[in-house]
Amino acid sequence: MIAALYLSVASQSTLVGREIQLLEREISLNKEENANLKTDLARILSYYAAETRGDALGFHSATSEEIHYLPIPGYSGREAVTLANDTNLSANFQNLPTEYSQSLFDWFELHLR
Amino acid sequence: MRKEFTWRSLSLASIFAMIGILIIVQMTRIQVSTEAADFREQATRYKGWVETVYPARGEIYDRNGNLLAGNQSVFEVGVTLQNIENAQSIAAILSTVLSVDYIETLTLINNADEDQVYLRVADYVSSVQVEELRRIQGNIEEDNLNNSQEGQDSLAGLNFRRHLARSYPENAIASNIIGFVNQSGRGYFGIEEKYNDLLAGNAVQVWVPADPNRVEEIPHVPDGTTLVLTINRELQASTEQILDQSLYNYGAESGTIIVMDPKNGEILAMASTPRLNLDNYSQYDQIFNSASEYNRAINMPYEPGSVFKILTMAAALDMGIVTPQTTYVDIGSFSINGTVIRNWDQGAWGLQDMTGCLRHSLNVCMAWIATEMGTDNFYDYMSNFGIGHPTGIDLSGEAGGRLKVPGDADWYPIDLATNSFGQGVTTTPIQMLMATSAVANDGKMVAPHILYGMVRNGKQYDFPPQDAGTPISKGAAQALSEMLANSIAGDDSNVAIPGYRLAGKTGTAQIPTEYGWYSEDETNTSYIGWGPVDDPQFMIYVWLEKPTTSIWASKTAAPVFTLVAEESIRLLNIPPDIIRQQYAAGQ
Repeated sequence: MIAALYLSVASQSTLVGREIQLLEREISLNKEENANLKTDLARILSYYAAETRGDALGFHSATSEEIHYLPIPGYSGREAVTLANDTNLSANFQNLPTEYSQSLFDWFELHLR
Repeated sequence: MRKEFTWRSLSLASIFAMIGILIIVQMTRIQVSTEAADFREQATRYKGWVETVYPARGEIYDRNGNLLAGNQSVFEVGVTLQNIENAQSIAAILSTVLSVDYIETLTLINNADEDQVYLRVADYVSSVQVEELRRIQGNIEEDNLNNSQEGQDSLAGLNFRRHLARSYPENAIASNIIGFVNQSGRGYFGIEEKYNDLLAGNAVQVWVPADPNRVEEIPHVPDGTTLVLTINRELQASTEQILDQSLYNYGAESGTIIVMDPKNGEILAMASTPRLNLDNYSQYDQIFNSASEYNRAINMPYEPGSVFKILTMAAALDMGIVTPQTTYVDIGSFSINGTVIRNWDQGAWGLQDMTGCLRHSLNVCMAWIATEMGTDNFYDYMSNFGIGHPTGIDLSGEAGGRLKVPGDADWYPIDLATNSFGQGVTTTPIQMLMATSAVANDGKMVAPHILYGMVRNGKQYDFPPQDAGTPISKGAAQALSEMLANSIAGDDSNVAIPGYRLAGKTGTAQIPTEYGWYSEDETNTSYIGWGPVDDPQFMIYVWLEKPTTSIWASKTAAPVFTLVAEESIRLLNIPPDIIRQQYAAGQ
């Protein structure tokens, strides 16, 4: 019975480990894909691409006569971008439940303590 | 009955015990056998493998979050040698799709070492080309399945490995600032070189266990640091367009324009010619004759000419040698140690106040001011302005320029006079901008910089502006700003934008030849200016090299300054002075 239990837990943790490996691979591929998409998007939104689209749509750069300034209380102009992302989306293996990495004996030892 | 069961139980127990003993014996036998070492080695091999993980290179953004340098997937194309069925087919298809040399590729494959497993044929292949190769590979495999015969075409053994490579979505925009990364991953020029270590991150060699139970042992390798620049992409592109058009209009050989925020030293735009399409950096050798041409704004010292008079006048005002109302009678020449200094037009301008000296850009007047200041004082001030030293801007390859000082073997007393109006001294445009920022910024000089902040582990760290000293007092700076603004208002220097009060100064400098004298018909024309005068938000430096339509800065560099100032006002959303002042008064 103990052997069966051990095998069951060991196989489950192996399966989860394998799943983590696959997810890691997927994260890596997604990161590459994100980099690709980000660069593709930047190309579409690049200065000359945007200018060409604007020209085709009949827009033109505003002349000084066409610009009207409206004072807006509290607004002090455009701030520089903030690219900080405090949400840590990367998987942290340290947060895995110990059950996924400990042996059956470790598990018994922990619960008997 | 019980005896019978006992016998059966004993028999079964004996069999299981025997099996157990046999297993233990076999295990022991294997462990002490001669093959044990091989088995152990095999087990170690299957345990995992060592892999070098190269982090993705950090991205580069402008101040508004526009991506200037990113990463994109490319492919390494190679062959697994033992799987190759027809090397000629592979060489032929690769030469057609990737334009690699057929003979060279075939020789490479055929001459591979016997123990070699994999051979790289090409790298940095685009996904479009790899799709084409995959399509051909699929078609050939399908044909071979349907119609199998000896010696048929085959792309068996051809492999593709995806990895990230640098990509520049804006192509040539800001190329002189950004620099580029070669196929070895090393940055050259600009930001890519200066911050190469930060951008590249640290490659880590990791042990990757095959055992899923040891998955937690794979370390997390952080990507390279992402950088945010002070550059405004729209202003950068507009400035580059204006510069290119100006070179054409005025027949100039090359040029530079810098736009800086004089309050904090943030570079908003820095255009230089020629420029390189960064996605095609292999053309570098065809475009540039030397590395110093890559970014003239920081790499190329030159004699700035009359824009330097701002510094001489600033020093004199600060010392109290002159005031804006001080008068000087210009007789058209000034003699120092037997050498005669003359004005740009060889003329005598008579009685002038100090604003008049600046407005008419009188060399004679400046030489008089410098001698009144005294040699030591003059050079102390110039040193405090940072002349002769690199500014420390965070771009690679900055040149220092040269300010000869008393005691140098090649310094002569006449240098005091000629230096006062920008001759015999070399500076880079960025040095002049930094020095003059003291005048626009109430006496405080700012350190020019291009890095706004960096993003690491999801957190952004912005860099505070740095003072570069206070070479002159607030009073002297404000007085000089007024003088320069008044001198613009009263002349025909082609610098006027309705609704905005600007300050500035032209500079027409003769070019020293290799024989030691100045060229008769070639000049460098420059303009430095800022605005609005009461609350400066931009400071612009223009340098056109050897314009042919006119040798004068007032006819070439000054109109370029006006165009860039107009664009700066539009793109930085700077309201006319009256609206801004009314709003400030109402608050």
